[in-house]
Amino acid sequence: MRLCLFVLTLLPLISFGQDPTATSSDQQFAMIKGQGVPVCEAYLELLNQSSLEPTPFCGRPETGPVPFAPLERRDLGVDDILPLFNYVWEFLRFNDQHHVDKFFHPHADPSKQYGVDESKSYWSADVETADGITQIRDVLHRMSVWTYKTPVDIGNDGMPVRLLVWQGYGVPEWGGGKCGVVYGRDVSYNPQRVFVLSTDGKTIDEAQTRAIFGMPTKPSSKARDTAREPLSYPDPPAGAKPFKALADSIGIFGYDGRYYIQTENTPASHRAGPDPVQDEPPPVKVFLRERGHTSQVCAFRPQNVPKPWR
Amino acid sequence: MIGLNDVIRRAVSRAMPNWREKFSWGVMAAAILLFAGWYWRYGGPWNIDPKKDAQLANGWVTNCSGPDFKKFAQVGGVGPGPPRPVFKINDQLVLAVPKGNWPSAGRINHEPYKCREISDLPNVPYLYFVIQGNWSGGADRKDAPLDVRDKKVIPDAVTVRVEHYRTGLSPSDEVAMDQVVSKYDNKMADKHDVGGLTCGRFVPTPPTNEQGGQLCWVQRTSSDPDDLRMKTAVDEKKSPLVFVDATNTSKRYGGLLVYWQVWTSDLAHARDIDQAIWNSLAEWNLVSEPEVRTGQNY
Repeated sequence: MRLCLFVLTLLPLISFGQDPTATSSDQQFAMIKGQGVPVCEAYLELLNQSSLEPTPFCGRPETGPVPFAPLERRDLGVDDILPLFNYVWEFLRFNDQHHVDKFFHPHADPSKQYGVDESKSYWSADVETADGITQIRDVLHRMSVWTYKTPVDIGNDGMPVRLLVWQGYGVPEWGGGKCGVVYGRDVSYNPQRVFVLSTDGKTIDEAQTRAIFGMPTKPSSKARDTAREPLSYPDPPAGAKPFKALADSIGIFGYDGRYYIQTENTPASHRAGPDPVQDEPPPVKVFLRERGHTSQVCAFRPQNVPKPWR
Repeated sequence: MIGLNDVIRRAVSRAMPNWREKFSWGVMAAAILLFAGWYWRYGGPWNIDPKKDAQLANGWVTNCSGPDFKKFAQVGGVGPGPPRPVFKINDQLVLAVPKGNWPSAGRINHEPYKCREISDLPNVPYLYFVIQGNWSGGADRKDAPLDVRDKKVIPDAVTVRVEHYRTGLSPSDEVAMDQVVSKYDNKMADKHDVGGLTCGRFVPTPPTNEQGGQLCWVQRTSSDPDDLRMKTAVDEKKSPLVFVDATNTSKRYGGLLVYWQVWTSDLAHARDIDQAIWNSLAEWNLVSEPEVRTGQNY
């Protein structure tokens, strides 16, 4: 009897001692999958130690102390972004970076817009201009694009590839807002995509991007988010078969010789409620791609994370 | 005494000591002379007529003539000529589009060597054009939201893209589209009728659409050849002009995808705009009516 009482008294302490972070409500995240797995424990600690302003959706840590891999970002300027913009735009909308859209640029003078002087108005297959990207990137801060200084072995197959990370405008059709900022009743959750680039870095390696950062096609795949599919950006035209991403916000990190994919979706009702800031954010998930297959290894529930900025 | 002829002969002998070298120099000299003649006659490869190049960049074919093209034959000719470049979408839709409507397809390197029949025309993967309407009752570009005014908004100027829908509308496509519509239908807030369209706000609204717009579609019947859907990207309560982005997947003309975009003030005219596009296609089509399987007879 005494032994039973002793055990019952210790039980909460034992369970507490097993995973102090999982029940500590002052931590930003709690683990819901991956207890005891070194990479999960380490990434949880990294998440909990990181400043995640304005909100984790807009950026989660990519690197930390050893044995995290020292990923070094190289932010792309307008001159680097412009040649890639069409490819990203068309690949996301039509799953084909070489699909052609044309945009009409009428002459400012209405008398020269139609038929009068056809050399003045023109069609262009370029989605954006350098000025447009400068405005959106540097003035409005509605997009951020980067690569890494060295290729990354994201497939963990000994074949490093060049990665391109694209957050904000270009993924959505419209400029969106600054990520994690509340506009009226709406939160600007700028989606983030990762692309595998061709060896020369000038185009998208479509097959590898689909395989590694796309939504698995088999519904039974462990990588598929059964709770909710990511939103489709941009809203595709009928007849188009857009690229389907693994999640709304995708990032990477490396740990102990392997590279991982970390994701988060937008809150399911982030725009419907009277106070979108109060929406419960979905879990952060970590995936490992190995031997050509992607599997989820960790999941973390946000419990005390920064809210979007008003 | 050494004459000028001797000097030249000695110089040539030194520079070209054998027949092989003499032959090489001769070929080079001939090539230079030919190039110089071509340059003198045509102005060289850099003298491309910018107007012609702009036409090729937009896929304009203007050299067609013959009975197939008599519908828009110019005075003194048997083809539509430069005022109406010709584009073949498929066998049922061959359009002679007035240049004032700014037709634009993919770049071609040159026009067909001969264009006497419609079969001489290559199919274009897509065709863009512009039609100008007056559905907004004199709205001004200043009525557009502030952040897009610099993009030269022209009210009621509809940019249209037409392409052949290669697979047509299979029964599975129709089921898929109905599923999409019912998905929208179930997630709509503030659902209401606008000029024959069912419109509402998508919940949750994609974060792309921060300015607040609507999704609209036509309630289809099984005999309806069209599936017209559109989204607006600006809240009509906040801006007199809204941006409408529409897609019509149609069984007309052997299967077409028609995309159109416009800044307009009244969404109730959206179906009128769509009809104006179909009217234009019918007017410009060179394929005679009995051969065209239109919406009522597809």
